[in-house]
Formats: sequence, C-alpha cells, structure tokens
Amino acid sequence: MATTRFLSKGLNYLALAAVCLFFMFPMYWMLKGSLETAPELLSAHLLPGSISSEAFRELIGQASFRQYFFNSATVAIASTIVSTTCAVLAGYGLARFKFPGKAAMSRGVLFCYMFPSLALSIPLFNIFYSIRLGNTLFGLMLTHVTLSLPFGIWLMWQYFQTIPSAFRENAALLGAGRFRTFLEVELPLARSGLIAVAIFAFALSWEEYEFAFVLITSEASKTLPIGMTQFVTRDYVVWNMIMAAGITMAVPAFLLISFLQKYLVAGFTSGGLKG
Amino acid sequence: MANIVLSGIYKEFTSGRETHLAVDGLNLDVANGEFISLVGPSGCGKSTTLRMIAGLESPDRGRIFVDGRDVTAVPPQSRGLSMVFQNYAIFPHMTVRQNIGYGLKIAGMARADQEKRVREVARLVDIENLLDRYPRQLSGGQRQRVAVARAFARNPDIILLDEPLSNLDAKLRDQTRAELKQLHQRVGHTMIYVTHDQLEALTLSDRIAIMNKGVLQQFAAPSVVFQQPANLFVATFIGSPTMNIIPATLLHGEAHTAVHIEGWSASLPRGGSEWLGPTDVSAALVGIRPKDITVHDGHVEGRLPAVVTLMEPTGSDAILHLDADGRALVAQVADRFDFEPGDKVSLDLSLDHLHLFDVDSGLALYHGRAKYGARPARAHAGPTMAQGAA
Amino acid sequence: MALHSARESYPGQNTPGLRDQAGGRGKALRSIIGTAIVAPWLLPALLIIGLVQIGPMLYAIWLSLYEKDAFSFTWDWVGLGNYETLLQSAEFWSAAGFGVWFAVLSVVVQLAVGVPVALLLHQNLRGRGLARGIVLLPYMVPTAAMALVFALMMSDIYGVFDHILVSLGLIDEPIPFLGSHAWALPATLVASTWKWTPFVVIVILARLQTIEVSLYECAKVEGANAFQRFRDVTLPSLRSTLLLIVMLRCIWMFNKFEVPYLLTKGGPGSETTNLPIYAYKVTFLQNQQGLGAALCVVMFAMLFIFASIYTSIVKPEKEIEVE
Ligand SMILES: Nc1ncnc2c1ncn2[C@@H]1O[C@H](COP(=O)(O)OP(=O)(O)O)[C@@H](O)[C@H]1O
Ligand SMILES: [Mg+2]
Repeated sequence: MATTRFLSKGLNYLALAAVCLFFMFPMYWMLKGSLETAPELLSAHLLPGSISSEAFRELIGQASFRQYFFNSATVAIASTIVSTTCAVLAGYGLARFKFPGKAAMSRGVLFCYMFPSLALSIPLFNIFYSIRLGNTLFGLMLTHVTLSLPFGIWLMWQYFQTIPSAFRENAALLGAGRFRTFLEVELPLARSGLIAVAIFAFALSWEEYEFAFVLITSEASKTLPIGMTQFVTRDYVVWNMIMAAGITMAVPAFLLISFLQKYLVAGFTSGGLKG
Repeated sequence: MANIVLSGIYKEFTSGRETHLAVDGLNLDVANGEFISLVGPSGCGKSTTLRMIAGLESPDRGRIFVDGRDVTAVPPQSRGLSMVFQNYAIFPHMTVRQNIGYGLKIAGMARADQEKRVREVARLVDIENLLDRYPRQLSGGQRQRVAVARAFARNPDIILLDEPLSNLDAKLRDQTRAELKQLHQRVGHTMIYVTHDQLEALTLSDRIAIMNKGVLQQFAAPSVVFQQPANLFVATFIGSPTMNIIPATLLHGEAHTAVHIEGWSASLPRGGSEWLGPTDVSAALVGIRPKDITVHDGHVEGRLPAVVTLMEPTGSDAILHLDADGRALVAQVADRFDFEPGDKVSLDLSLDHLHLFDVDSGLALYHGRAKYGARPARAHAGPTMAQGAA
Repeated sequence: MALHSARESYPGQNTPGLRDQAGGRGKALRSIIGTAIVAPWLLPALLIIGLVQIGPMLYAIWLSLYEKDAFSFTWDWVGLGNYETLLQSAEFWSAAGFGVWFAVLSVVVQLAVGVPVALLLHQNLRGRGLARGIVLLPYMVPTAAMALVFALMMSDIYGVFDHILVSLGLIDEPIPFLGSHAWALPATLVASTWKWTPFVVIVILARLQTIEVSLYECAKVEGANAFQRFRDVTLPSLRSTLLLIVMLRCIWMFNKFEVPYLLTKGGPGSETTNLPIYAYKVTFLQNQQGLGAALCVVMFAMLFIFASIYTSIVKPEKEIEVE
C-alpha cells in the first residue's frame, strides 16, 4: 500500500517534470539563442557556448527595430485604453439598463468574439484605403480593439451584474447621480474586472499578427511581430538577433501578466480567452 | 424629523409572465420621532415597503407623504432620508471616513465641515478610532456601525433600517440592539426598522407593524400586539413559545358564554369590553400562551388532563410538550424540572389571559382582561390615515 | 385606540387592486426609453465593431459578386460566378479539407495533452505553483516569436531536434521537418499544441477548482476509489467546460493564419494551406479580389453556422440577466 502510493507520487513528479520541460524548452531555446553569437547558435548545442549581449546590442542599434517597437507599444497602449473604455461603458449599459434584445445582444457579443481576423482584414484593406486609414497606426489600433472588445464587454457585463444593487441604491440615497455613481462607486468595485480586460487588450494587441500583416505595408507603420519575422526572409538569417527580438517581445507581455496574475483568474473563470 | 403616511400602497412584481403581489393596500402612519418596526415572515413585503418609502421602488398605486408633502414621485435623494442596508453596502474602496462623508461630499459641504460632522457621528457610534481603516479591516459589528454612522451623517429626517442586525452573531446582536435604542433616544429621528425577528421588534419599537403576504395585520404598540393580537396570525407570530390554539365550542347563556374544549370548560362573562366580535358564533379557536397554562401533577377534576411528551429545560423555565386527548399543547413552567415523558398532569388555562378567535376569518373575538405590565400606547400627533386617497 | 387603528388596517378594507391601466402601452414606451438611455453607453463599442467587423463582412459579400483585381478600378458583375469558381477549384477543396483536418487534429491533441496536465496540476504536489506558471508561459509568448523559435528548432541545418536525433543515431540524415511532405503537418501540430494547450489547461483548471471539495470527501466516505471519484465527480462537472473548449478551439484553429503561414508558408506545395492562407494568396498574390472576398464570405458563413450551434448549446443569455 505504502509502496504503491510512493510509486504513484513518484510518477506524478516525473510527469510534472516532463510537462515543465516541454513547455519551457522553446523559451529556453529562445533565450539561449539570443545570448549566443550567430555562429555558435548554428551548432545547436544544448548549452550556450558563451554568453554575450551582442545580439541585443545590434538589435537596439537598428533604427527599424526601434521604430517597430515604438509602433507596437503605441498601438498596444492606445488600443488597451480604447478597448477598456468601450468595454466598461458597454458592459455597464448592458448590465444596468432594461431594454429589449438583450439575449440577442449576448449572442452577438460571442459571435464577434469568434470572427476570423484574416477574413476581416482582406475586405478591410480596401475599406481602410478608401477612408484614409490604410497604413496608419490609428486604423490598426481600431482593429486591435475588436480583438479584446467582445470578451471585455462580456466580462464587464458579468462583473457589473455581480455588484449588489445596494451599493448603487445607497449612493442614490446619498444624492449621487447616475454617472457619479458609476464613476465613484461601481467602477471602483469592478476594478479587478477592468484590470483583467486591460491585460488582455494589451497582450492581444501586442502580439497581433494578421491585421498588421495584411493592413500595414509601409515600413514606418510596421509593428514588431511583422518586422521581426521579416528578418527571416532576408538573405542573411541572423538567428541570434531574431531570438533577441523574440525575447524583447515576450518580456513586456510576460511581466504584465505575471505581476497581475491574480486578475487573470477573473478572466479565465468567466468563459475563456481568445487564442 | 418628520412624519410619514402611507396610503393605499400596492405593489406587484412582474418577472416573465408571472406577477407576484408584494404589498397589498398598505396604510401606515408614522409620527414624528417615532421608532416603528415592520415585522413578518420572510417574503411578506417588508423590504419592498421600506424601499418604496426610500424611493428605490415606486408603488403601483397609493401615495406616500412625508410631513404632509406627497413624495410618491420624488427621487430618493430628495426625500430627506437615509437607509441602512442589510449587508451594509459600505463602499469597500473607501475608508471609513470617506464612507461616512460621502453623502456630505456629494452635498457639496466644505471639507472642514465634513471632517467635523464625520467625527461627530463617528463618536456617536463609537468608531472614532477606525476612521482611516478600510471596510475589509473591520469586524462585522464595526461595519454595522459604519453603516449606521453614514446614515446619520447627513442628519436626515428619517432613517430606514433593513434587517441591520441579521448578519451579527447572537451576542453582538443583543448589544447592538440596545445601542440602537439608546441612539434613537438620544437623537430622536423618525426610524423605520425592518426585521423578521419579533423579539427585536418588541424591544425596540414604539409601535410594530406586523405584515403577512403583503397585507398589514396589526399596527400597534408592542404590549398591545402581545396582549391583544388582532387576529390569529399576529397571535401566533408574536411571542415565544408560540401561543397554543385549540378548537372549542361556545354556548351562549344570559350572562355568560361557556367555552368547551374536550375535557375542559369555562365560562366567560358576556357583554364586557373583552368581547370584540360577534357574540353569537357557536365555534371559536381558543388561544392561550404557554406561560398562561398552569400545570398540576396528576389528574384533577375540572382541569384539562394531559400527558407529558417532552420536556425542554431552558435554564429558568421548562417548556413542556403535552398531549391532551390527541391535541398537542405547549406549557411553560417556571422553576420545575422534574417532569418526565409519560407523566400524567392536568392543566389550568388562565381565563384572564384567554383569547378567542373566529374560526373562519381568524379575527380576534375576545381578549382576557389581564395586562402584562402594560405601558400606554405612545400618543402622537400628525395626520391620520389618508383613507381612500387611492 | 391602538386596537382601533389595527382594525382599520385589517385586510379586506382596501379592495385588491386592478393592474396598472396603461399596462400595454406603458411597456412599449418603457422599452423605447430604455433603448434610448442605453444607446450612449453602447455607442462607442458598436461604432468600432461596426467599422471593423460588420462593415467588412457586408463589403465582402458585395465584393464577392464582382470580378476585380487589385490594380484596376473596374468592377465587373459576375453574380455568383466567384462562388462557382471556388466550388470547382481543387485548391479550394484541398484548403478547406486541410483546415478541417488541422482543426480537428490539433484540438484532439490539445485536449489529449491539456486534460491530463490540468488534472496533474490540480493535485497537491510540491512545486505546483511554479509548474502552473511555466504552463502559462506559452500563452504569454507572442505567436510570431513562438513561430520563429520553432522554425529555428525544426530547421534541418541548425535545428536542435535533428541535431539530437542524429547524434543519438536514430536518423542518418537531418529531416527538414517544415519542408517535408511527411513532417510539415506533425511539426505544425507540435508548435500549435505548445502554444494553445495552456488555454485548455487554464480553463479546465479553473473549473476543477470550483468543484466542491466536500463532493470528493462524500464520495470517499461512500467508498469510491480514485477512478470512481474521477468518473462520478470530476468528469460530470467538466462536461460543459470541455464542450466549450472544443467548440471555441475548433473555430479558432480552423481560422488560424499566422502559425501555418509563418512555419510553412502553406507548403510544401500547398499541402498545409488552409482557407485563410488560400484567401490571402488569392487576394494579394493572385490579385483576384472578388474571389478572395468570396472566400472570406465562405469563412463568415462557416463561422455563423458554427457559432449558431455554439450559442444554442452554450446559451450565453443564461449567464446574464436578460429581464
Ligand atoms: N425585484 C423583485 N422582483 C421580483 N420579485 C420581488 C422583487 N423584490 C421582491 N420581490 C418579491 O416580493 C415579495 C416581498 O419581498 P420582500 O419585500 O423582499 O420581502 P421581505 O419581507 O422578506 O423583506 C417576495 O415574495 C419577493 O420574492
Ligand atoms: Mg427583506
């Protein structure tokens, strides 16, 4: 009895180690590659030959990389702000007001959540050009908003619903108007939902590939995911720089999510995420 | 301070295709500075009534007056009242100080005045040292005080409380109940207090409004409600252990009416002020509180024979569960714990404390003349019920 | 006196009420007012969704009825001609077929890996917190970065997998995983499993944590063994979550563009070309905008069918207060 239990515990830990190895290895490989020199990297040894910051220095030295990074950050931050604001307003409206068609609205939100980006970006290409949004960061930002908006609306809708009406009623009795109650009482109470929405909005925009790939053709407006994958298609493939670019892309998302991990639970438990 | 008049209030809720009657034709007048309780079983419409007074719900029909002004269509913030919610609804993202001062801030009061007023009410409920804490750092009892302090801060004319003690443990509840009463005596606001606990209602209030299924059953001082319950519902809802109800037949003579229960009978004088209803019915329900039954050992002629089925000692008293010829009765006996199940006893029902109720309507027909240390019903000025305004 | 007032307010005095006379019209009015009040709150979101999602969808339907290439400004009406072309095109059917095949396979693999991992991480093992963080890792790594590191690892010249396999003597020649007929699909599957299994793990883990511990304790007291507890307590609670995961992941995997595109460019040949890649090629490489739009419409149509089934099973309106 004791031995079987010991054995099964051992097997569990073995499995745990295997799982960790599987999920960590590519990340390790990226990090290792980014710290090696280009020739070393090509020999594919499991341990790094030497550690150098050469790849990072060279990467940062490139004006185009700085431009991509700046574009990505601009789009991600702007779309986070816009998406969160729209999601909070819409979620509040849907949760608080009585009007017909709410059930249809809830289905519509889920539909929007599943729209294939590429199928949208093809017709959008023409539309954006005709309304002068083609190749603009603003246009790209708008498309990124829709990646997180349906989920954000859904989450805020549910969040505002769980806030007991007594808070709102009490504020009303104390003389606060509708908008003041929303701003000073209900919004602070929905803070963790709001933070979860903001994290997703940022993470989804930061890594978005398809809209940016189709809609942006000018070098000046390219974002990091598009820019860095283009390194590969050049004649001389600088893998250590590409890996370094991968690390610089992964780090902001990684930091954001690990610092705000507790807010993620709110998102995950309320019906999953895009991916 | 203000008086409140509810006149012909009617409210139903519609959810989907079903409509649910919550309050049915409620008339109520509350005097200036009075403390009244709305009491009744869960779901009887107490909270709905309170929320209509607050303006959080609007009645389908009927009018609400505050100081003679019709406020039925007035929004909550303009009615000059505050409310303490069951779960307190203290804003978790504000400190105690900000919570108490929130209404003052909205009213545009100067900072220094706000601070002064917050300190004042905080002192009133003894939470001055907690002003910089957040609600999550407070115990249940402290939160309750914050909610009360916040309700007092704007110095409203009327304070509404919806089961404010129901989230506290028994000991704290007793203590806070006493403090609430003291507070009312000191500041003298008009207060309406909702509870499902009859003991809270009896101990706190000047008058009690007892509701059942949306309908007001009786509205009177605690002693009156206890001694002269208007109907069967009030009689059995108020008082613990519950009043015994026994079917009886009535025989009307010239000067007396004889009350017959299987194995026991008594005669009551006819025509006195004790009689309230028709005096010619031939059947009625006898109501007698457990402590108004005297228990004697053994079988005695002329008394109601019974057998002990269970004894519950409560410390000072014993609650005896009895079987009298198939009818279950409860008696409360002081200072005797030597009963055993199976003991044969005989019962005396105190005629001074006897009640009779109509079999069909449940209305009281007769109340025994005894008063348990009655206090006079509070005299109050103010408009009488505005009947027929609907 | 008090008794008297009690009498006055005894039931029956006030005749029970008739309903609000203006019932029907009041309701319609109220719903109009409700819509008017809620509109400003929804407007910003609706504008953006309209511009980026609804607008392009309608535009694609319209465009798909014309023949138009990227450089000319002429629109030639062809009616359903583009759809006819698609239905007769072998490339279309192979892209659609590969898309379905890839979606089904990858979801099966993600579940086959994700469910056991979630159950493992739910157990009370030391280092569980760290392991959960590690499993979450791929979810935070931008897809483009992940595609590149897999491209590096699977390269036949400097890839670590070939390096290991050759040095262990398992294979003689390095395999160009991403460029070979036999290996392009499995390689893409491995990469997408790595990237999206965390989604499965996290959602299931979240669900597992909401199962009452007392249910397990009760089953234990009743004498159920570990397998019976899993079958009778865990599995029933996971059913709806699994359904949700399968449906969401299927539609998302079907519409994936960047992973197959970045790893294989849809090749070798057009073997790993799914509908999005095909639509991209048709529109921007072959300059047939009308045909590309028709492909988009096909994708929208599939989404609608799928999403309708999904919403009728999951019933999102149950989770919100509609009244
Ligand atoms: N917002 C509402 N919607 C539908 N029914 C309600 C609503 N509020 C109260 N009710 C119903 O009205 C009745 C009275 O409720 P309430 O006044 O809360 O009772 P209580 O006396 O316990 O405070 C209950 O049957 C309750 O179900
Ligand atoms: Mg209540």
